[in-house]
Amino acid sequence: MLIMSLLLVVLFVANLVWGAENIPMQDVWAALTTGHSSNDAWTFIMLESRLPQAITALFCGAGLSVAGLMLQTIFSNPLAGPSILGINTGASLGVALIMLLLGGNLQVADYSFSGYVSVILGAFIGAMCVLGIILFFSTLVKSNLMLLIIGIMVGYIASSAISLLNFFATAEGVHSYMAWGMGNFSGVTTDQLGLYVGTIMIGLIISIFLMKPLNALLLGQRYAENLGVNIRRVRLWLLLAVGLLVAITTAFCGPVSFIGLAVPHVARMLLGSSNHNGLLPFTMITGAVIALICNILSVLPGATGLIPLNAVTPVIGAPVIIYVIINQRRLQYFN
Amino acid sequence: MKQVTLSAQDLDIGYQEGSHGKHVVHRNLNLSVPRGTLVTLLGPNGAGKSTLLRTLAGSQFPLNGNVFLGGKDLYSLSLKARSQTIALVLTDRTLSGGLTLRELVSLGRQPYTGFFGRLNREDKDIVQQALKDVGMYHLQDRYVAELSDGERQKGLIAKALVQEADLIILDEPTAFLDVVSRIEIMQLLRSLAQQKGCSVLLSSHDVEQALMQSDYLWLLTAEKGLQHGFTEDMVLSGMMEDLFPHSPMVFDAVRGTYLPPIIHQNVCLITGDDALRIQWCENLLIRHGIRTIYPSNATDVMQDLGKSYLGHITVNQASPILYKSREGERFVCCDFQTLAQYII
Repeated sequence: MLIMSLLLVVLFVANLVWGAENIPMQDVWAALTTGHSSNDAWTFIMLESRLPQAITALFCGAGLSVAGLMLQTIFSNPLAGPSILGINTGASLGVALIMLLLGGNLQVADYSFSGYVSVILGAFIGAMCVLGIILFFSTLVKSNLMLLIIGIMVGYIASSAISLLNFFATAEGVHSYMAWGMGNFSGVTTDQLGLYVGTIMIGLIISIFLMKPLNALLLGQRYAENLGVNIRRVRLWLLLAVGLLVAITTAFCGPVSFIGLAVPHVARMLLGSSNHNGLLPFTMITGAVIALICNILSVLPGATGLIPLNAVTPVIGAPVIIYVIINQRRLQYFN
Repeated sequence: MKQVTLSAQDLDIGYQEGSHGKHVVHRNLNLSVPRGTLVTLLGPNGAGKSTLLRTLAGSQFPLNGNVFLGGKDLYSLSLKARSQTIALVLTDRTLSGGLTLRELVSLGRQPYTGFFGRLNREDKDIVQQALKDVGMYHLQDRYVAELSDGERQKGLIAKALVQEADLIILDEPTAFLDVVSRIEIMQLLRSLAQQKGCSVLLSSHDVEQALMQSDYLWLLTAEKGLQHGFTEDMVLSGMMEDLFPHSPMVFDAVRGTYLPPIIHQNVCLITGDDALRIQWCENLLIRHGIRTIYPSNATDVMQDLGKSYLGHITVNQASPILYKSREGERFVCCDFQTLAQYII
């Protein structure tokens, strides 16, 4: 845990230093503490671009990994991830509607949103709609497995709607949508940072209070109920937390793949435990670390352009998982 | 009179199918589990044992009637109160492989701990004591995934113990266990009931241990519903045969086991004063489908026997077994294996 935290700090700083232009450490420190440094351009890049991007990556990684962990526990399914319930796809559908159907503009009552903000709103509303549908079904369906299948089905419906929209769209529209779908951490401006971080913090705090029932759920629904866990209520709070985390990250960063599914496994194997009391914080930190690594890699190529995030995450993540599996003598949590 | 812990009146158990239609498994059940007793529920597969246990534990709603715990309706108690009064031990698969045994047992303290499930000194002591009681103290740092089935089951019983419940309900606790573990667990449950005053209700297929360790037997069959009573009274009542309504199984009240039906009608006469060896001689003969008769009933039967009469076995203390066949040949056998060669 300690090593991971240190790694986190190191990577955070690295994110600030490296990039299209390498900014020296003293200037980074000066810009952070006083708001001024030897080079005004560097200060600007630091405070307006690098810092928000690093913070975005950090919280995105933490939020999505925790969402993945919670889903894996409650659905007793090691292959569950934030994209499995279709919330991701719902966000994508919202974005697709905005970009491809409405041409990038949204009119609600007296308010008019265009361009960038409309995309964010569309993603968030789309995700929340799917979340609402899942929550509705969660009141009807008692079995977790059945709820999972419903979520997958809803995801499929949203997915096919997206395909339809893409089919009838213009070439530019399709390209914009695809570019959005690649994911990136640079989408959060400093004034939006508060909202972004705040929402993710809400999701993370809810998850912390779910640590105890999540541990009970490792034994299965019947044992958990016998230990006093109110399954319905826990499921509701969990879905809310997951929904919030996935909606906000997808809205601002696009659909980030892989981190939510893979990080909980890496965390379990490195920590050597399924006990959520330690696993949950460790997952947060590990997720942030991995996101920061991916962020650095995606900006490295230089001034010409960023590698899309979703191309980087699996390339880093998959070998890590394979390495850990081969080197871990005992995989304890499948019994 | 013992204080009753669990009771039910006019209980109907079964499943709700969709929004209409009920599938009633059993009706009008009246039962009780007195404090400090061990009750075993016996019955063939599919008779509804698990349904009954789930309904009594509060995992499944009764279709009609009520379940009472200490006089109060089970469903009037909060989820937390229920978690402190009933502890379950099931055969469900779990994802707890990545927890250590101690962490698994500690989960049983959840009804008593705060928001994050932190254990205080007292909680930790209770966990340690439970681990000692089930004989798993030395394995507490092992991962659950590394334990054998028997060890895991004992761990789950320890988890039920730390819940400090008045009633422990176990669904086939000895199902996957070896002979040693099976006996150890039944003895552990017995001591829980007797010394700690818990009420223990379990379902089992192990008739032998059930007869030995239970205070009360519940027999559940599709044909006759639930029959229950004090163990020895049940054994001698003839109700044990009801477990096999369609097959010719016979319950031997002497041995306390079910005997396969004897199809052949060959007969052997046994005399002697070594009761122990006579009993096991009989065991051998039953296995080969041979009925035994004793001098007390021999003369009545002998006339009708003719070809089916095999011979006369004499078993006396401190001497080898003597076998005189129908044709008059005499054999001296020092062990049963030799005797078997001559009889078959």
